[in-house]
Amino acid sequence: MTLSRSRRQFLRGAGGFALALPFLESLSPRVAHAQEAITPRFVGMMTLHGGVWGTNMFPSDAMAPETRQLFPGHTARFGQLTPEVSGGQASLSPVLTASSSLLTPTLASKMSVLRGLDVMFYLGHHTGGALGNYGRNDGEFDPNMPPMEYVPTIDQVMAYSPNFYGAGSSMRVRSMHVGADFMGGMSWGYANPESGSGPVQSVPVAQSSLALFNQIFVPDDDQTPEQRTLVVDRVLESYRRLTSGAFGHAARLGAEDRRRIEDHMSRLHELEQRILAVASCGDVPTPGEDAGPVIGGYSLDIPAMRRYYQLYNDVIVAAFICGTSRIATMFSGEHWSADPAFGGEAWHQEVAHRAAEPDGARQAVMAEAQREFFESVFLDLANKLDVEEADGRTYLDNSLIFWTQESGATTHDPISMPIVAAGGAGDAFRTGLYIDYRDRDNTLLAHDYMPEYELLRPGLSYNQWLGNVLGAMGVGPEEYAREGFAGYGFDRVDQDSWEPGPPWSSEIVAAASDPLPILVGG
Amino acid sequence: MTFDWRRTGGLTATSALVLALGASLGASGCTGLLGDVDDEARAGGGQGDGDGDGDGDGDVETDGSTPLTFACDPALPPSPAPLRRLSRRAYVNTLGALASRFLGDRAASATDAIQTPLLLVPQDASDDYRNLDQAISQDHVNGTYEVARAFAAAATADAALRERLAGACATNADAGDDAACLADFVARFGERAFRRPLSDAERTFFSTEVPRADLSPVAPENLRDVMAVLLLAPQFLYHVEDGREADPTDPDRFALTGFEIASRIAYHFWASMPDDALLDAARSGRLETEEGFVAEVERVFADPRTTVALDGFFSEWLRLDEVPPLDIAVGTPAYDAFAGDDSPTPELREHMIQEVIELTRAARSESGSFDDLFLSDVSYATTEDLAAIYGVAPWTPGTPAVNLPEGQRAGLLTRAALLATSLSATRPIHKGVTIRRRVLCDDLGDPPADMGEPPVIDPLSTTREKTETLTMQEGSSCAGCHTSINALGYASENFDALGRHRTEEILYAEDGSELGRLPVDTEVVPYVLTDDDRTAQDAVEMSRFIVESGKPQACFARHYFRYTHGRTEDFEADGCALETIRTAARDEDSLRGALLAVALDPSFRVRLRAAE
Repeated sequence: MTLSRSRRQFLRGAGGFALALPFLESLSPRVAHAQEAITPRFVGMMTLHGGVWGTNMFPSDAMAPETRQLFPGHTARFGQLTPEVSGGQASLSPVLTASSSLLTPTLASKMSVLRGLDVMFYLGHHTGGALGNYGRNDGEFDPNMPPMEYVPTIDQVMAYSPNFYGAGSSMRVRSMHVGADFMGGMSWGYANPESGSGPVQSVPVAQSSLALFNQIFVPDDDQTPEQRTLVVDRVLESYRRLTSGAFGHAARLGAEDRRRIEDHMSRLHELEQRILAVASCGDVPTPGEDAGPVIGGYSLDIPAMRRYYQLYNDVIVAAFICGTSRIATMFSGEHWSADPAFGGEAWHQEVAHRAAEPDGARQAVMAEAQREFFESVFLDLANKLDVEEADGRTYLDNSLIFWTQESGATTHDPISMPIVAAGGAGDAFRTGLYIDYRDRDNTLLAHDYMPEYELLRPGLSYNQWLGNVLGAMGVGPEEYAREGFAGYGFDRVDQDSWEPGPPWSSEIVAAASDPLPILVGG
Repeated sequence: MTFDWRRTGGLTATSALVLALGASLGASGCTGLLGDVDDEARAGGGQGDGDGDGDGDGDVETDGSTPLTFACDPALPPSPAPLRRLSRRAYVNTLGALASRFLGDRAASATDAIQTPLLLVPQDASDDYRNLDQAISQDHVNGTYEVARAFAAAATADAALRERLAGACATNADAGDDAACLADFVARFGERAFRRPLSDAERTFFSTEVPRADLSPVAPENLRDVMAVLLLAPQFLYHVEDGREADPTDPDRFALTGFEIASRIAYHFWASMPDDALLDAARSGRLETEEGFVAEVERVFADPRTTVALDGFFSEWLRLDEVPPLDIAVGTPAYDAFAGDDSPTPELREHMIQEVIELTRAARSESGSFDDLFLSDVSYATTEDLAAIYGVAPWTPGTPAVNLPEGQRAGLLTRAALLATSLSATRPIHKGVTIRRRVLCDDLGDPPADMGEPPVIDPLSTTREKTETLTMQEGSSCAGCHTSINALGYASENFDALGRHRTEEILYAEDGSELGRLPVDTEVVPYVLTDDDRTAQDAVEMSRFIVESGKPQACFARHYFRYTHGRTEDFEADGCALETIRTAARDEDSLRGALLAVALDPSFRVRLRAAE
């Protein structure tokens, strides 16, 4: 699909909405200022399984020559992301390598790569953890700890924040969800997100890029608002009459029955808003191809995987340009390998679980798979968004795309979850930086199973990253904070699981509510 | 070597002790095998009255926390059930049935029109049965809206279709009958869509308050919109059961009306709306008599639609959608050497799955039995590729089944679909876990996070030996559960990763050269029951132990209950329904009887409202 920018983009931003929250102001004066004029967009991406060694995932130390003390004895390193180009390939690290036509110096200057953001407890086989629903994992290690409750993921927090989609916005779909849905998928939200009530449930993924496109882009018609909403109005009335007893027998509905009907009615109200939303996207052509059902983890067909995600990227870009949706998640469960020796079940056993073996053979397979995703999906989206929106700024500049993996540097370990981002969400985040938050002198995580384990070092809290992302989207902690929890997510350290004690200080845990050093505010 | 290692070195003494205890006890996470009470049992709280007198007043037999029988107290009401929505499958089937009923040979005009919008309606998903997915997301509401609009627009697209829907009055020049015409359409279409006659208030609302007043009641736009609203109303999308006054002794207990019973029968056995006969039986009151009810259940059960719907249950019970693609590794030297002349095509997987479905169909026939599920020694392989794997001729449906080589296979656990992997190696742990969880209902818990330092694996060893080295390390947290898991998988190690019978395991190098041949060992102590330490020579004998234990019958009752009612069973409140199913499977050895029993139990005709 070829995208042509509509006149709509030049009319954007006139309405604006109140974003001047204290948290944002604390992040950076530039953030609040910038976001009065822009509407930030968010894309969260996650791939399986991770376990990519730091030397493969992150730039070398040479790219982080500067230092800054975060806490006494804990110094971060950082520097400019500068791709090395050779033979038509540009490289920031073995995984962050792509065609130099995609990973250009300009694009690198709009990226950020963060190392040393840790989930401070066991988080194996999770799908919700990347965006903060740590409860969606395969079990917990420490029997003395209470189970982690399910909480909405940050995409759903921002989707239903009054500070994200303002009244009268052109939103047609609050959030778009692409890719795998196993184990509930990547995105989670309340059964009744408007009221923030009910159980936290999986948010379904799209089954067709064309159907998603058709939801977002409805051709202009000459119907009045009343005509457009007639069906929904009458349907809502049928729900009201059922619960009021006007159809008979309302008293026979139980409390749980009523809650479910109220949840449904809340969704109908949301549908009504979508129908009434005004968007002028007439010059965006309908895609000629449908991505179809998700490819799935057994595929060896990399061109098909690329095509699948790139078709969805087209829909995401089109929605962002037209303002009909500003949030997307993408969860790739594919292996991104064409080698039949590692297809299907073999991937899990022969690659994911062997990626830490010292000879590095399986590690190389895993790293190449992640590189393929980086080039084919992440960079594809980033480049498609890097077209001018207004005043010399591109849609990418005003967006935040971030990609992480199921695991950190070793399989099933959420230590140093890799953060690869593009766009600064306006001016919320600095870009073009590689930042390593690890405390290199702290060896409490190191052990001698395999070479990579010896290199594990604690950094800052992944919760802090999630809280900062929400802040960049205009959502302050007053909207999600729970007593005793800093940042976003479940705030705990498995005290009994670390010998001789947890490697993160209470100061680091408490600082998870603060702006991330270096990334925010300079 | 395949392993999942973590930071044992970081463990405290307390945690290490927990792991050590788990290992020494045998199974720290395997609550069903230790006599602990698992979550579901806690939910039910029902372990019988415990007086042990066997008088049937609540005594239950258990194996650890895994029930072997259920206590039935008819005085106890079944568990409350919140308002259920149509499953996605039932939703799609019902739309198709409505199109057929009202549009006849032009039904495709509506069903074709909804194919793309249907992609907006999420698939039901659950770790257990899809019927348990009762979530309503924005995509459900948006998707059903788009589907209803597309269906209604297509169904009213031309005068001929409108005439089929509403009669000649919808297109004639006489405006005087238009209001009555729409009211009649609402009554007829509504009765099918809502699975009961509409109340006066409903008829008035849909025929006078939904249509636009500035147009004729039967204007195309009004017919379209009225139909769309009917297809989005709660009475269509949900199983609204509110037709009876509450039981005088229990304000939250409601006997179902005839129409509600008809709906339950149809959606359980067909995953679709009631047919004419069911509605007639409801209308006449026959469904509210025991004789009339049983007759309708028997009739519906004999309908081919039931066979297809129950195929879905067996597929979910046995997790047949998890049978991996088998042709993934074709083309690699090692796999090609392994597969030889049986190199799998993409279709082989489907053939394997269909054979298992056919086996269950035979078992649920009048001449079949529950035990056939585990003891059947005949092949239902209809294709050359699968028949070759079994070493038999293909079976032609409608003819007697083909005998398998004597003594090699017995029932489901030795069928290719439950043995095959996408690798050249078998998966004894996977096989064992499937049997423990899906066939025996033992709770295994989750794998521990910390699995210790990886052991050294001898590459020139059998899969059984490698698995043993990996999971049974002295002092590891793995050994406990794996004692009860692995044996169930080892018993069928005389079948390779394509399900072919073998006596030795051939090891291949990556280049396809043969590294060695090692004899397979299928002798196990499967501990089907915790205190049963008999040795089984192979999966055939183990399958017999399983059937004799009574455990799969009780387990089947739980699974079928979940599928039927869309919720997890409560041992106490649902004890009667569970025991009815179990008894049919165990005491009467009738799978057909068990499948019918769930509907014949009185709880099928009662709704319990969650207390205010």
